[in-house]
Amino acid sequence: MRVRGSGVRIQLERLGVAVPRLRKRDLIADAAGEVLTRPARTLLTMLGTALGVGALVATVGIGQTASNQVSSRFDALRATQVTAIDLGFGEPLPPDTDTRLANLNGVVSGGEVWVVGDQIEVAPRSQPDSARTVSVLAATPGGLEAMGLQIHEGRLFDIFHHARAEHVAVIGVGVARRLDLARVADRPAIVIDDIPYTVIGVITSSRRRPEAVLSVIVPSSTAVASMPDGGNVREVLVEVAPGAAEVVGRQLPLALTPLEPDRLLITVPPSPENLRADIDTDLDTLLLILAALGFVMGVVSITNTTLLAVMERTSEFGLRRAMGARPRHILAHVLTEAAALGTAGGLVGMTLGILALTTIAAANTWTAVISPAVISLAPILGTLTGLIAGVYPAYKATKIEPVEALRR
Amino acid sequence: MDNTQSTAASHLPSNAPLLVLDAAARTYDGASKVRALLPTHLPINRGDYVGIVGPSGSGKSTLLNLLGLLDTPTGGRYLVGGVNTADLSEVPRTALRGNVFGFVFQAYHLMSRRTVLENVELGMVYKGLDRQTRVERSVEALDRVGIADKADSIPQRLSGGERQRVAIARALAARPEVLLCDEPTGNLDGANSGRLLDLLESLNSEGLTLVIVTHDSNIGARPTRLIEIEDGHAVERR
Repeated sequence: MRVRGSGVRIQLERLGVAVPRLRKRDLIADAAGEVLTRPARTLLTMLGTALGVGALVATVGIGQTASNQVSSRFDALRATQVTAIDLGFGEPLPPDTDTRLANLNGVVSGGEVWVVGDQIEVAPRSQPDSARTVSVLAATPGGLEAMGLQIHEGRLFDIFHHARAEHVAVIGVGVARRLDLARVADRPAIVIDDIPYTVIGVITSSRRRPEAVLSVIVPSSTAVASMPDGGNVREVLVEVAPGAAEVVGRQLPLALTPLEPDRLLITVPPSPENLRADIDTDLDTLLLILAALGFVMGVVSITNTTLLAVMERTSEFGLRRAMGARPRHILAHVLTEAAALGTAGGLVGMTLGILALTTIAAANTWTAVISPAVISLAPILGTLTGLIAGVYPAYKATKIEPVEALRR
Repeated sequence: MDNTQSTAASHLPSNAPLLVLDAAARTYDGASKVRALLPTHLPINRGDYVGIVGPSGSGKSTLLNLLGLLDTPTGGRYLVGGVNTADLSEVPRTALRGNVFGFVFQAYHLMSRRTVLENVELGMVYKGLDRQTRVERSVEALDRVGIADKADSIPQRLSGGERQRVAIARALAARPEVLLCDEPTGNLDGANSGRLLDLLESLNSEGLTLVIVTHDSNIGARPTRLIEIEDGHAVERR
């Protein structure tokens, strides 16, 4: 360019002509006209962007919805439970396990609960011949409490029974029926290995050990003394206050087996924070891949179509140049068209994404949750896609020589 | 703001000829040099009706492109309103082209999916005129070329003659000083060609400077001035 700045103004003044200019409103109306008069092409072009934005909106929405579900349907039972498996192979845990557990902050109740055998013959004392095979559990009073039992009749055994290794049993309502036992008030008894046990209670359910309904539960001291062959895997069951699971889980080995901290295999529930973070991390990766794919698709398809359109409309751009359009006007024109395509794709994608999200949420009876930020970001992302896609075709369009273009 | 302006180029100095090719020549560099237009001297005054005739490839279009500032001479000078266009940078050059010249091409170059009115408006979009002014001027120009009733049609539904009238209206609406026509009747039959030339001539009689490039000798008989080109050599015959 030979003359710049004020020189241009002087030249224009001398010629008595004004700088060619293009109003923004006209630019947008012109581009919109071009996009709207070719609906089929517009639709196909914005498909990529629409899919990309749609995938993004749906994925983020599903992430947010799922995260919301995690907090609302959070498993309170599991979250307040810590279990430990004793890998000591029969070595007894300290006799004051219940007390040690109770002394830990955050523990509601806790103690040993372990399976003595799951195929043990049990007969009512009144009818020694009608034996049934049931499973027998052993528990300390703390463990019994931690099982979350619902008592149907009678009572649970306690420290007194445990300390004295009394031959008492708490049985599930299923066992009581199978053995056709009398009411607890009539002091029925059952026989295991020729030793009678007085049934002091019948339970109808157990929150933490549902199988207890079909079992006979005896004090663990009794089991150790009277059924020496049974159960070499001891377990500890602890009910903790909400939020205390992790801390209790860490303290458990030190409280019960301080000399062999690795003897206990501790299981704590996943913390809600970790759970949500896990979901978020999974979704973040998926989301990034989907979104990136969508945008690449969007950019490629818009670049393609716009480039094709520029070639198709070479004579039109040549004519525009002849009629006073500056290269920058042509640049703005093509970019605006591409941006309009991108924006339209973004809007359609957003609609599709929300539609997909609500459909998925409805099918799962979830409440669809999506942040307004994502919704307002969708068309902006579309516009951006269009702008990026438009750069190369727009640059090509500015290189159209009117002479060449108009010869066609 | 531009409503009061009758012709866009009325600010150009009027003491000199409107357009002057002063030994202007155009050579194309390439594998072999092509001398499309040999040094040519051609002054064109306001209101002239100039025909440029010659066989295909003789250099007619080159001459027209130089006149319309679509191309730059590689030798000599080209003055518009006494100003040497070689000194102009891109912006004033574009401004001058958009303000002084109107173009009509054989192929019409209409936007096929936009209405006739939108096509005609396009000639004024780069002047920054507001929509209302553009529509008023477009309707006026369409009325002048006799197809005001087609304003809302799309070009695809028009006949060749009507399409060329849209192209003329598009040029006129921008109020040019000079109308440059490149084979304007090339796609029209005899009767339509005659009517179109009648229209162009009546515009010329109203003061519009008219330059028509054609290879049709029948049309070549009508302009008041006639330039004949053969092998890049321009000779004024009339």
